[in-house]
Amino acid sequence: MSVQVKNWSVFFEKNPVLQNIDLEFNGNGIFAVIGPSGCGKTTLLKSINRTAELDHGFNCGGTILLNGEDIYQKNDAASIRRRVGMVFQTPVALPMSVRENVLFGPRYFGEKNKQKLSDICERSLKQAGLWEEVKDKLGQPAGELSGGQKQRLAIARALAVEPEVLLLDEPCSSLDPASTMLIERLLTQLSGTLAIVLVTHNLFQAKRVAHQTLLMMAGQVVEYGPTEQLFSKPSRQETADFISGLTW
Amino acid sequence: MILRSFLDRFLLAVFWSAGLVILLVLTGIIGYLLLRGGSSLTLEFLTTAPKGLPLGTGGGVLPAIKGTLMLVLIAVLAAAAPGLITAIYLSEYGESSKFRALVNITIQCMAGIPSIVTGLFGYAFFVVYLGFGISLLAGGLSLGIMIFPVIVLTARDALLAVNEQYRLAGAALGVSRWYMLHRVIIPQSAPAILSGILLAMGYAAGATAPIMVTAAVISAGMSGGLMEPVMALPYHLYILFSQHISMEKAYGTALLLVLLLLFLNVTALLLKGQHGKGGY
Repeated sequence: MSVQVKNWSVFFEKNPVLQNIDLEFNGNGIFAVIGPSGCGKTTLLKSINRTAELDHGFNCGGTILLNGEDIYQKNDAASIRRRVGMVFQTPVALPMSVRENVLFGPRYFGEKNKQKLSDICERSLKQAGLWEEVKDKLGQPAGELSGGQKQRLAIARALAVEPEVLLLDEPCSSLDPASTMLIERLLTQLSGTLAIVLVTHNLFQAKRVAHQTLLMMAGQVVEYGPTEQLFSKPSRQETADFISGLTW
Repeated sequence: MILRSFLDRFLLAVFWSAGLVILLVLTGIIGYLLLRGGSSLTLEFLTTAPKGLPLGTGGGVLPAIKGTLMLVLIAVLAAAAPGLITAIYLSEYGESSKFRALVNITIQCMAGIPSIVTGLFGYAFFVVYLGFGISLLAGGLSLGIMIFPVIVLTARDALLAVNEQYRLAGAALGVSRWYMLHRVIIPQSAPAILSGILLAMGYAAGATAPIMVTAAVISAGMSGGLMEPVMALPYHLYILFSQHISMEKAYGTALLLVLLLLFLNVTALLLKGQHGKGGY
């Protein structure tokens, strides 16, 4: 799995949000994106599954390659979004049962076989670490789940369509520490078989789970490298300042 | 501090009495109608045609009830589908396009057209130009034009009130907007959309101006033909009191009309209360 971002810029109306970003995520693992609020982390994330263009006034330049294929070349944004799943900051449980939440994508993409649907539901919920908690209430409204459970349900819903990359936008920011820990453990497990891009404002989280970390400021890449190295031996002064809390 | 707490209490009293005045006005109107028209609201009144000379001094209002129901039905049949489609366009498609802004403004303006002007248009277009004559169809369609913007605006707001996160979650999965609409957005907003349609029906049932010149007559049979003129409750009421035919029957008719509207509005409110409470 590889995501290559080349000379990537994004404007909303005429305001530059991302400027000439170059970076590469290769193989499975967790890639964390950190940086101060408003630095363009979420826009970068949403560029990778083409949901940024849903926002008003979106303009872009440069290329993003998914396994070598230019994702902005095609007119079909939906097929890219299917391959690059995304989980948002606010846990979203669609107003239907737990099972239908997980099967929302597979049903849309044409899966009708009951046995297969049931297998997808179980597999996705197990991958998201939610199966044990909900296996007896699959038919119940997903709205009744707790915040942490809803977030894992959102992960299960994204995994159900078997994406190649999973994007997470501050997935733990509205969760309590116990739920956060569960999600971090889950991401670590998933990273063995999936490329995960995690936007977080929590430096400790990046330090705990990410294999590679990217620091952004004002729409530009400041430093990108193995997490260990970025936190212990940053090569740029801005990075050192940011991680020591000077420029938050 | 004392002054502030006094101001708070004073304002509370002002707002509370404003609510009380509205309540008193409504109960006053209904109470007065009950007092004056309650006695004429008999089974016979509801189930017979007007009689006597001049017509309306005796008998009941059955053809007018039937006429009003038919007019409202035609208006809703004509306006609901185009209204919903327009609302879906306004809430879900054509983001930031100039055309959408134009449609939005047009609908707002349409909602502000005086109903007598709608009546004039209905007369010129349906009655004369299309040759429908003074008829149930011409009146129903004129009412349809009148309630169209009400349906569009309430349905648009109902759709927009659905959690934006659902749309994002759907888009991020790669599902189409239409799939999202029919699986999530429309079911979520259905109670509020229906509530808007009921309110529009009440608006149509009570409107007199658009049907005065397109559909309603003093006396009509019960044929129910689309191309026949009809009697209608608000128009019947207007004739009864403006021609001094029978004040007693006029109050009876008014009471009946208000009860019908009250029923529609309360049902609409109850439906709206259901919004987003589908158990999910």
